Amino acid sequence: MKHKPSYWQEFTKGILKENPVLVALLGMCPVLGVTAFVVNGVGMGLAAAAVLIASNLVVSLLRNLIPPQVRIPCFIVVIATFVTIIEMVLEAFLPVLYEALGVFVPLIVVNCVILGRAEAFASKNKPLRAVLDGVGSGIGFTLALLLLSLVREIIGQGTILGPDPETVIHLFGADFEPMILFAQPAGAFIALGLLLAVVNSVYKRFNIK
Amino acid sequence: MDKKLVVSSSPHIRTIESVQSVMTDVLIALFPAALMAVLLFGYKALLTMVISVVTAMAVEALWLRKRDLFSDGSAAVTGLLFAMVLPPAPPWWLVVIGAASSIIIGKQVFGGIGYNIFNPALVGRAVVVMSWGARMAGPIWPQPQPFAFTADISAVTMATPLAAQQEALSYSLASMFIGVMPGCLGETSTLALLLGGAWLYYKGHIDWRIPGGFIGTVFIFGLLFGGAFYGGPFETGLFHVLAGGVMIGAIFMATDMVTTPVTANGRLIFGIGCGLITMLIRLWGSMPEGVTFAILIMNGVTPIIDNFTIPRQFGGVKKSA
Amino acid sequence: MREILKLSITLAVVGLVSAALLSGVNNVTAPIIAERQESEYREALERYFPDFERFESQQIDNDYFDLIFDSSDRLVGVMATVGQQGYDGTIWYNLAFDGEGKIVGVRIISHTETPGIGDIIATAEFQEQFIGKSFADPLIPGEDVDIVTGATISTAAVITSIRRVVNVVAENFLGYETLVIDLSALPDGIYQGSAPGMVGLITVEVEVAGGRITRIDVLDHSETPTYFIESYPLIPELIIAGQSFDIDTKTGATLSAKGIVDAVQAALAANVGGE
Repeated sequence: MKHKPSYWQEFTKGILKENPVLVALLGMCPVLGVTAFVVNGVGMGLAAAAVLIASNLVVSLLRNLIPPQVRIPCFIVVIATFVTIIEMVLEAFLPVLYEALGVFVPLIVVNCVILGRAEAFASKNKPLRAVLDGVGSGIGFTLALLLLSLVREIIGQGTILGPDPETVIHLFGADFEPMILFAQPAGAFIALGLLLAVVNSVYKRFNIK
Repeated sequence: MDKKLVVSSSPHIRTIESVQSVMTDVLIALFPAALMAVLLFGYKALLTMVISVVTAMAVEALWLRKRDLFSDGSAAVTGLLFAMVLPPAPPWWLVVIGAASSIIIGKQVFGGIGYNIFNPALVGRAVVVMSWGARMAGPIWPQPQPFAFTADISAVTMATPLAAQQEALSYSLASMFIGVMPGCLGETSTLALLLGGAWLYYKGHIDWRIPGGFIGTVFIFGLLFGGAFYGGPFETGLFHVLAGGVMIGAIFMATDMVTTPVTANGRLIFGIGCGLITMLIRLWGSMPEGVTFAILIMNGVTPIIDNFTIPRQFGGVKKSA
Repeated sequence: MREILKLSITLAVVGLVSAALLSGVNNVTAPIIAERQESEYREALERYFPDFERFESQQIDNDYFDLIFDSSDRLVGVMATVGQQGYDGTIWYNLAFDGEGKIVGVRIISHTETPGIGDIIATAEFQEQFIGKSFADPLIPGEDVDIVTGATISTAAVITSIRRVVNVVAENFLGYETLVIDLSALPDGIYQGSAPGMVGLITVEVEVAGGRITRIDVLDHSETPTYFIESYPLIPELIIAGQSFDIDTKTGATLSAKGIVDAVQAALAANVGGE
């Protein structure tokens, strides 16, 4: 029997070692789609994290009740349920964020980070471990989106905490002409590539594997 | 023991060409166009070129941690080519960021010289076009002022001949050939670019198939679908060849050794593809000019072209006889 | 058999629980969502129409109109909700008119124009130029309103759309008739007229003989040549062939094509009015 990792390890692996975005390159659709502004990126990260934690818990609880032949449809239904709940809650209480995230909220259903964790981890582990894994991966996902959207908003818009005119801070004054490329989808790929290069070299230096 | 047979692996025959000698030849070939740019647009064009070249060389030296600023000369060529496809008087920071992007995103992230997929200078241009569209397109082009070195060229600006029909009709084919029209600082003078192209061809650095296919396709498309607004179909075809970046693109950008096919047929296909995409963008796209993206797109499909145009090997044995 | 039954029951139970959960959450959130949207729209209505008491909704083609009445049931304004194809996707906006057909407010509901370029349409600076304009104004780029350099397509699309909606509102709700051109009543002759295209005015010369349009020439325009060749000479040929202005204008060069049609109408309308 293999040595079981500690709870602390289950929690931290999703943040650094197995970060869903920066290492596993999963769930790229929202990563590239909504990271033009920090508020949207973090909002998307937290929404996906909430779904991930909830679905990990439920999948883990149901793991012995669901026959293996129909496990994937069941997981999808569980995930879709939580996504729809999140969507309705966002629309009711955070309409600004709901509109900014647009179609990417329903698309959390097919985010491979979530199905991936459900299938690869939650369906084989006890609820406490599954939740810790979900929290860790959720934080890792949110952190990656935060990093990318920071880069993209500062360079691509010259602001932070935008686009809401009440909170937005123009970092470089009114005459600054931002590098719009980074606010556009093409720039998202370039920014992600550069970010991955930096992350990889940091990982190498500190020997994180 | 003198007669010992020395066995080594290929290559056995080496060319005396080095990266440095090729790059020096390209710099010589760019000289007429650069001179023409200074004659037409004055000191601001010279300044743009100097900033771009220095930035490109400095960024490359920093990235490779080298003391030698000129090194193999490829950074200087990239910097100069990037300046050639800029408006004559852009703000200095745009030149610096664009030249740095050329070197970093265009070349070094792929592993440096010889490994880049896309033409570095055009990557730099694409970056600045996407980022500061209002400074790279529209009625921002200074009127050339021949032989007025110290003139403030940005005082009077207009659209390029490609953008508006009245503009187009106010330039004769002859003045477009010499380069007295608004445009990017190195692209306006077909004459100077042809001189440079002749030098490169004489030195054997470029293959006629790419510029031939490119320019030929543009001409035929302009002739057939250009709408004959410029005097007649034939003149409209010539107009499309002389206006905008077709000449600099065909002679200097699309002939880059690293990012274009190596096979003869592949090069012809590459040139025709560039011309085709350019004209599709010009006639039916939302931008007045399409040379940059045409070449970048064709750079992207270069490996596929090479793959399908491998020459047949002679002397082989049939596999399933 | 037992196996299949077990699988089906598992799936059914999971689905049922999920459905129950969702309908529960929906019951809580739906009224909040509806109330919020309603209150946002009402807020906008109250801002533009201080006398606002109640409204009636109407749809004409693809545009939605709310007719605003005050407490004594007098029509005090119209709120239009319009979708217009921009550079990238549909621009949805509200256009508020007062009782005389003057624009009192422009409000972009949603758009997906390029950030930093086309999204200039959502700025107050761009929208303010329409305030106070009505069907009596030309609403022509370069004359009384401006397109923005670098964002030509987005801004021209909004201007063209506003010009259209202004006339729809004036005709349908405020009782202003626009001219219906009766070709057979036109005396033979050569007429000239202008209308805005995408970049500037398009001027045409129209020849009418025996109640039919026989020739249309564009005398002057400043459209992008590469766009313009799509509309000219195609659009005049279509008008002459059909003797009608109801042309299915081409996508891509829509604004130029529509400009030609408008210019021909303007040329003829001036003479109908002079009768």
